[in-house]
Amino acid sequence: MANTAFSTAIGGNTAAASQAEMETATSTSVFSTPGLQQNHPGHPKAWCHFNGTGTIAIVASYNTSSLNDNGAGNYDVVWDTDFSSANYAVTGNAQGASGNADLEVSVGLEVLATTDAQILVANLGDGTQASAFVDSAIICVSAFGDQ
Amino acid sequence: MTKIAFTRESGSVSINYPVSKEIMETWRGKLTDEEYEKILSDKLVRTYPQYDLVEIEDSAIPADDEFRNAWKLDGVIINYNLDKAKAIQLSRIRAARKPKLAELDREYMIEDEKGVDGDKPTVTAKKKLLRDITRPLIALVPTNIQEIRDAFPEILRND
Repeated sequence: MANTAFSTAIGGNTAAASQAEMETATSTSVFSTPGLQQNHPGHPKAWCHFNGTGTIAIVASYNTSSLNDNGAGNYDVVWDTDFSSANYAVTGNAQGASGNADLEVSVGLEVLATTDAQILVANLGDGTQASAFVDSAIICVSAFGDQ
Repeated sequence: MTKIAFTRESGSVSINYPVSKEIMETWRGKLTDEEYEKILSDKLVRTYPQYDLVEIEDSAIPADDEFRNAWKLDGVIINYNLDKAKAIQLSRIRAARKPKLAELDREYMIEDEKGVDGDKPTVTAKKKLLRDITRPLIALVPTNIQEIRDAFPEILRND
């Protein structure tokens, strides 16, 4: 049953936004529903929190079907639903690597494809230790764009 | 259990780790085991058509990552590219040696400032020992990964 206050607030219209309306993201007279809200362009389309050490594993995710371990600090994040083009955005961060926990790490982007994104995790080095690609126990990645 | 593995253009080995069925169901809804397996395999085949995707047993994957970037896929077994492993170990030895050489440079300056009482030859000998420390590994023609592992000098191991 529609919430009266909500219905009044949106001008009496209780229609759910279609996927096209969510993607256009201009209507102020329809409301989003849980099953379609991810289609809004400002909404993340996929995210993943994974352990990149040893036998790597996805701890939690949305729309990430698998990971590839490509080498030290080198991973592919494979999206379940593809992006419509490679013009999308990926952000990421990671915990300092085991054995180098005092070193800051950086998550870099190597390849963006509609199907997956290759990311690199590196410690940033300091006066005594050189920077290097490293595995990390907590790596978090999210992606935004059109699917 | 099995995993999908493949060799990339660079020669490095990629191993695929799928999301669990339980996590995938949070956005796809309830799935049968067959549906879940098909989604994963269809996606890999579509994403990596240029590679030869091989199914390998977990037991075929080395237990440690020490020489991860030297892994190579031999059929359905992961072995080591010993040339790459040797280069990795040499790089580690050089990195571990660097701060010790810097410390000896400092010691040398101190001995130098002592003038005739300074013991520069002792420091010089220590520096030569460190400079030459890669020679045994450079000369090694390895037949297995353990030989390369054992070639890391004891004096460079972390205290």
